[in-house]
Amino acid sequence: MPIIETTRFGDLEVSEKRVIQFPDGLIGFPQWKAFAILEHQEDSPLFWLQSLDLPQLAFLTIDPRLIKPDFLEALHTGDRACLGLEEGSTKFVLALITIPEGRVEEMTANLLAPVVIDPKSRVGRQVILANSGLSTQHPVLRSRPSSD
Amino acid sequence: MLVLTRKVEESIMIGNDIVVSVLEIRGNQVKLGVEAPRSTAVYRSEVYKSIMEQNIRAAEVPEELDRISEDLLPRRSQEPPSEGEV
Repeated sequence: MPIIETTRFGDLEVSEKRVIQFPDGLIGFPQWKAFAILEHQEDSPLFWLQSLDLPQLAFLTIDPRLIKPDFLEALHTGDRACLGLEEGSTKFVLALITIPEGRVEEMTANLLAPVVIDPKSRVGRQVILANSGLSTQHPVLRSRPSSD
Repeated sequence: MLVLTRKVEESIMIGNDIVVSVLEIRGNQVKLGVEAPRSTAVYRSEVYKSIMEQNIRAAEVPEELDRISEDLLPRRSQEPPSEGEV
C-alpha cells in the first residue's frame, strides 16, 4: 500500500482502491491528476481533497447541496449533463472551499465549478456549470446570507 | 493559435461536433453562436481564468484550522467513496 507524505496529515497509507484519478487535473492545473478524499472530522460535512502528487496541496471541500439545497434542481439541463447525472448513476459532488486570509467564518465555496467524482470508476473532474449563474465564492456558514 | 477570418453568417467547425457561427457584428462586438453537444461546456474565457484563480486561493488553506463551529455547518449527507463502495 503506497505511503503518501502529506503536510497536513503526516504520512498516510492510501490503497490503490482509494485513489481518485483526475485525467484533466483541476481547471488551470492539468498536472495534478491523483487525489484521495479524507475526512476532516468524524461526522463533519467537510472533506479534504488531498493531492497525491504534492504533499502540501489539499483542498477543503463540501457538498454544494448542503449550502444550496436546490443546487441540482436549479441547474440548466446542459449543466446537469456536464455533471454526468442524467446517466442515472450516483456521483459524489464537492465544491472547493476558500478561507479568505485565514478567516474561517468567512469561508466560501466554489459552486460554479464543482468537482464531480464517479465512485465506481474513481474518476474525477472539475466541471464548469456555465449556465448556472452560480458564484465561485458562495458563503458556506449558515449564519451568513447568500451573496448571489 | 489558428487564425481564421469570417464574415457575418459564416462559421467554423471544431472537431466533428462543434460549430461556431458569427451571427452579428456591431462596432467592436461580435455575437457568436455555438452549437455543441449538451455535455460540452461553453463559457467565456474570463470565467475559466476566474475559476483557476479561485482554485489557487482555495489551495491556500491555513495550517491550523480553528475548530469550525459545527452548529454553523450543515450536517453531512453523503459518505465519501470508500474502498469497494458502489
